[in-house]
Amino acid sequence: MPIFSENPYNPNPLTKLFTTFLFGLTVLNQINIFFEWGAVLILSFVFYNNGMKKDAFKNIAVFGLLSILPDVKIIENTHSIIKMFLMLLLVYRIFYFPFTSGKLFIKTSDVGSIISSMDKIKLPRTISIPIAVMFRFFPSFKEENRNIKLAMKIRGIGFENPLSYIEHVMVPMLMISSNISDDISKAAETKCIENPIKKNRYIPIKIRPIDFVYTALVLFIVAGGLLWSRYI
Amino acid sequence: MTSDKKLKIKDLVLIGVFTVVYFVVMFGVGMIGMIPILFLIYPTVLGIVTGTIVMLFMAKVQKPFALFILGILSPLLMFSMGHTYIVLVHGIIVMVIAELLRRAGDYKSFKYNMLAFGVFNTWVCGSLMQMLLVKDRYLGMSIQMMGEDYARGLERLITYPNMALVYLGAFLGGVAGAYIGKAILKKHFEKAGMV
Repeated sequence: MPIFSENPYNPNPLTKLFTTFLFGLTVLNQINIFFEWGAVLILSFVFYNNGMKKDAFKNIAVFGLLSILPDVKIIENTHSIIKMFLMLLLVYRIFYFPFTSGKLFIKTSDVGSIISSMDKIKLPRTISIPIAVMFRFFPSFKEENRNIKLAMKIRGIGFENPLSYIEHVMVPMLMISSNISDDISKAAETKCIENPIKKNRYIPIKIRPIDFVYTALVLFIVAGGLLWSRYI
Repeated sequence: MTSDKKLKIKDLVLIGVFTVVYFVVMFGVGMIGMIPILFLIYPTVLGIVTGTIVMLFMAKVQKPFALFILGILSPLLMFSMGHTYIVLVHGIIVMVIAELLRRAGDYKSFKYNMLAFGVFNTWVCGSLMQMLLVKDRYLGMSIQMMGEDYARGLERLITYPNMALVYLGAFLGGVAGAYIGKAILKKHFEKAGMV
């Protein structure tokens, strides 16, 4: 698990979540194309400085393609099935900014800083413990899923009847998950998770200049873009 | 509230684990949404497939707020992956109704759990509701791209009455899923003594 929080260009998870929310506002009201390019460049800048150079360039290229899409005149005469798939691209175009911002959040946040930022905003334990467990459980779930597929292949069970396929996959998956959940809760209990004192985290969460700059820029773009397209 | 009705660490861990299972299965089923018309029946299919997961969960944790927390984690996850706040708000409203239904049956009765799952299953319609709200912008773009006729056809398809049908489908899918889940629980899990 890579740790990004030392990087001075990585905003903390709270900032990233807040900006994802802000970008969500662009779904309902379109912002001006220049502001959109500004947003793309900022997102690419953050990707680039977190070592994801490929994502940074992909971001620019994909948005470039998507922004010229509605103007392509050739499509009008193509087959209707191809048109239907192109319609999905339009949906993707509308949701592009929140999706990319969410991708940034998922790809550049490590589990430790997410957990300590949940402490920071005083999220109740009934929510924060399940979220922490989710991160712990995802990798082992993938592995178990592979094992189930392998076991089915050995026994020659394929996809003939959808209903019995559900049964063949779901039953072992739920059995294993329940057992793992018992194990995790035992482990958590031995580490004194129910102790009601304030806990120290291995990765503390800091507020650095990048958080202010990033939030301010996104706020400027979203608010500016909305006002621009409404009044000018 | 008596102490055994409170959520313990064991239950919270179970919620986390089942959210992962639910979410992964949801994404697997979501692949059918790639074919444009099929995403209208996606909620129904989702209900049938995930019925077993949620019914097992409800049988294992018969306590207040368990279903509520399980239910708001998925919209929360979708929100952090870039869906709008509409999904989150819609999810919370749906989960409150589902939780109240479960309470009416004292968390044990199959009938009320089944109804609760039917309601629970409609949360995924929230992502389609987003489409309804961005309809004008979407149609504007598709007129440019696809021509007038196509956009008119689309306008007839995305309407509030049609959306009600999707909700109904989600509810019925949930009820069907609950019955399948009950059968599977009886066949496998009760024998193994897991419920």
